[in-house]
Amino acid sequence: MEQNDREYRDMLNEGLKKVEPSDELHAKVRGSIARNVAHVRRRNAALRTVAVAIVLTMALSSVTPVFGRNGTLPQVITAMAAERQAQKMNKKLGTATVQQTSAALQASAATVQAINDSALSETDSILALVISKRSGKSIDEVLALRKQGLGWGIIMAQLGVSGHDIGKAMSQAQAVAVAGTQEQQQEQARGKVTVVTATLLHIDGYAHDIVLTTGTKVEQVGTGKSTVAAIKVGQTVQVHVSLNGTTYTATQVHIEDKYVKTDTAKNTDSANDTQGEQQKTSNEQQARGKVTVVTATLLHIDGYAHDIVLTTGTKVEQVGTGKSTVAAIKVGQTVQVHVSLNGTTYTATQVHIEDKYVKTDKTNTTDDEDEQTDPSVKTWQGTITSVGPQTGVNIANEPMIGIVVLAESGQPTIYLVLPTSVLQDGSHHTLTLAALQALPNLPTQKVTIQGRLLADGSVDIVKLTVTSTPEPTNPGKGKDNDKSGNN
Amino acid sequence: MDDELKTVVARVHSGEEAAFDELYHLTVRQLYKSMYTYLMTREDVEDVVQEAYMKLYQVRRRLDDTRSVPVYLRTIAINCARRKLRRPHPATPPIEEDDSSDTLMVQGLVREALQKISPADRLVLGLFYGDQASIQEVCTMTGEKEGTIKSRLSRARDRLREVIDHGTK
Repeated sequence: MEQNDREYRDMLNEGLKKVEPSDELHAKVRGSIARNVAHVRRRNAALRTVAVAIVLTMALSSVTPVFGRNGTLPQVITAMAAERQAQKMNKKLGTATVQQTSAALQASAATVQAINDSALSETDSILALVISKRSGKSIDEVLALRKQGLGWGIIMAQLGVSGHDIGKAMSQAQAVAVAGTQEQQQEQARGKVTVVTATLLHIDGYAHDIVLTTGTKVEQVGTGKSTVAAIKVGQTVQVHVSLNGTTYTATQVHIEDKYVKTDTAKNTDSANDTQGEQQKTSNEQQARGKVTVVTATLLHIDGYAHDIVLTTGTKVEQVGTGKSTVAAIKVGQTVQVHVSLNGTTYTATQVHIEDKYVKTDKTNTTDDEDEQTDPSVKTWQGTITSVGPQTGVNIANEPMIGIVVLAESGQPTIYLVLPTSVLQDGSHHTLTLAALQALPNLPTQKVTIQGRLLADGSVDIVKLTVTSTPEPTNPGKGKDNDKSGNN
Repeated sequence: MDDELKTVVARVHSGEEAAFDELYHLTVRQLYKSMYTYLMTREDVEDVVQEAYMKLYQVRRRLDDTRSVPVYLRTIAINCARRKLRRPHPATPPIEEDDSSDTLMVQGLVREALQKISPADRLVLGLFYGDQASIQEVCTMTGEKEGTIKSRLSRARDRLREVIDHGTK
């Protein structure tokens, strides 16, 4: 192998014997090196010139507004930094950026609205609010400068706001905004709409402007899910308001006025179609008031003439907890009920408990009573022996207006009629005490009484239902009637 | 030679301008032959040599005497030559006659045989036999694996032997 290698080496050396670099090659190499050195020198000189030019421009621009309405170079740099911070905040806070920022900077809703209505971008809006706050100038003054075409850097310089101020304000705003989202408070407002725009709502009796966002859910009686466009001045609405700093944002708007199709308004306007009127199609109503009676399947609210049937399909929600169950409905709570009327049956499709949810202390609920009912309310059935007005007070010092006496032994005899007592006939029509007194065959009338047993053995009537009166034209379908079986 | 080269490299490293010329004269002959084996035209070889020394000049202050400057120089030159070969080039470079009257038969045969070998195989042949570089050094200079170098060498040898023994076809 070594022998072969030598042979090849010799062969190659012999073959390339005359291959030698020319004498001119050294000069050529030196020439190309010299050219390269000169090129490098020229390039370095050019770079130095550019660097010097940049330094001079910066030095010059720091005293002269070489960038026209954007101001000097430091002002341009400051503006860029401020805009970057505003963009960052805009991204962080999402769709409600301006509102969140204004809340953090304690800007009024009107200011938010003003800036929303201006043609500024969200980033510029944030910056305008921050500059306004830090400089103590009104938002209009800041916007006026911007409208003149001035850059943010020059505006900040004119109003004495530094980049550091902006950074600090942004940090504070972000902190407040983050804390705000963590500690959002909820409240409820109800009243007639006085002002409504695409982004703002004002209702009579509520002190604050309410901001409408794309996240605001709107629903209306008669149509269900709806949009902000459905909210009109004069309508009665109930609004769930999320309070964040000083911004009141509507999370949900419930329009209580029934949806009316514009071209068939007259035909569909049946707001007063209650009181036993026979209808072939189902209808919707709304009731609101204090709960006087509630069982697992029945609800009665003060001021509403009909028993409302609760079904498994009844949706219940409560302030402070959202979705809930029928068990959450308690006597004394204020509720708003969507009632579906079918024939003579009033069925709750939705119950909204306006009283805020309060977590019950487990130690206070040791008994096995069904939590779906008011445990103090009990039911008795019997035959009336007499009814009459009776003024005075019961043992609990509550005023009473009448008295009902039942004949049955083994249960209370005296039942007190209070101003809040509900008296109704077999069709669930409300009766006055006088009307009850005037019923035919009174001594033999059978009744069901729901009430609270008092210490002296008498009973405060919560609800009295006459069960034996025949109702050929409008038979009730309430649970009490079913129970009694005495139609 | 090695000691002289080390001394010169040390002077180049220290910034002595004349030392670079000495470095050139010490290394150019071998580099020229290696590149000629690869490119087979004087014009291309001169271009590559110029570029290689120019690049060496740019990094002269970073050279140190422990580093093998000839290997480094060849690596630069090979990269320059590869770029040159990638450009449009005549399919077969003409055989250059130095002195037709005195050219020995074997020189003509060897150069003719080299023309029949691929440039990559020629390069390996030139580095291994012409420069007497080790397989490891050839790997370093060409950036190819040992197995590849060995197979290229074997192929180039066979072809060279074939042409020398039987003449070109």
